[in-house]
Amino acid sequence: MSGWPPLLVAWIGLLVLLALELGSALLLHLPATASLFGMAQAAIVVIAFMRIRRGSPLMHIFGAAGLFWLIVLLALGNLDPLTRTDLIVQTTGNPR
Amino acid sequence: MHFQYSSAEHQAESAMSGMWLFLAQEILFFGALVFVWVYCCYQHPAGFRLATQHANLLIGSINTAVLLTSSFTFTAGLLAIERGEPRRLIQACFATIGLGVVFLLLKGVEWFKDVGDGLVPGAHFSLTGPDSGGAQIFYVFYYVATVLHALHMIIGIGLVLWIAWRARRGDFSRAWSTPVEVVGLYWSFVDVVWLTLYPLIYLAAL
Repeated sequence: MSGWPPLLVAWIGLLVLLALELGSALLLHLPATASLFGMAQAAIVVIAFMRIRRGSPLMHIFGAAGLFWLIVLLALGNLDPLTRTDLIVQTTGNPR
Repeated sequence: MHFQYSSAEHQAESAMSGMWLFLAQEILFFGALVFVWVYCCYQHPAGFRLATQHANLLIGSINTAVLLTSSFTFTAGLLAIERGEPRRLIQACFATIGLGVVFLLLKGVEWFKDVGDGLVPGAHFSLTGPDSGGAQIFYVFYYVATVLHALHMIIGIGLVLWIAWRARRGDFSRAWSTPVEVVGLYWSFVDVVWLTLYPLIYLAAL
């Protein structure tokens, strides 16, 4: 992106997404979608304001590496707690 | 141009790549906080819901719009200097600084109200009942995350002020504006961090 018009479109788009984020959580009672709107906004900021597409291959590698290790951190870190089944152990008294 | 670079483009690319490498480790720094939120929200969903209902959604939402606008103004300044208009860059820097200060002031008001409402984890935490423990964990996350973000904002304001000072000295031109672009990356990244924290603090557990 270069020049004023795309920048202005991106800014307006971000504010519209913010309104949709609020609306989906408060009016439609879908709070879980709020993070999806947040991710969409972050992607617009990275493309329009941080101008990732104009960057060199090395910048793309560093950006992708940060994202990759974030996914590893969140996915592997939460794999155990989110998939664990809690078993209720009944107390039957001390056999001894 | 410094002696170790083969060309001005090589120097600019190295500076930009260095900032992206720094941002990659910042992603993991804040990523650990997001991990803590997901883990603790799963363990204490009712407590997180209770705490989120007491977060100041109005201030949080206004601050999000303020921060998005500040990224827009700084990028507009970058475009201006790429067209050879240092005066416009200085104006954009001061608009960005002003919006950053507004964000911090509103955050301060929010913290002040939170403390006044007894939303500080500990013996005098105001939210009682069976979900109080989970709500206290939420507020630990809230204070750690928002204070760390505010510290990044303060550093960012200092950097934008430095860019304005250098622009006033005439350091930047249509041909060379790498520091402006590097500081712009940092400022927009701090914006991205807030875009991640905002739904977690104010909306996702509602």
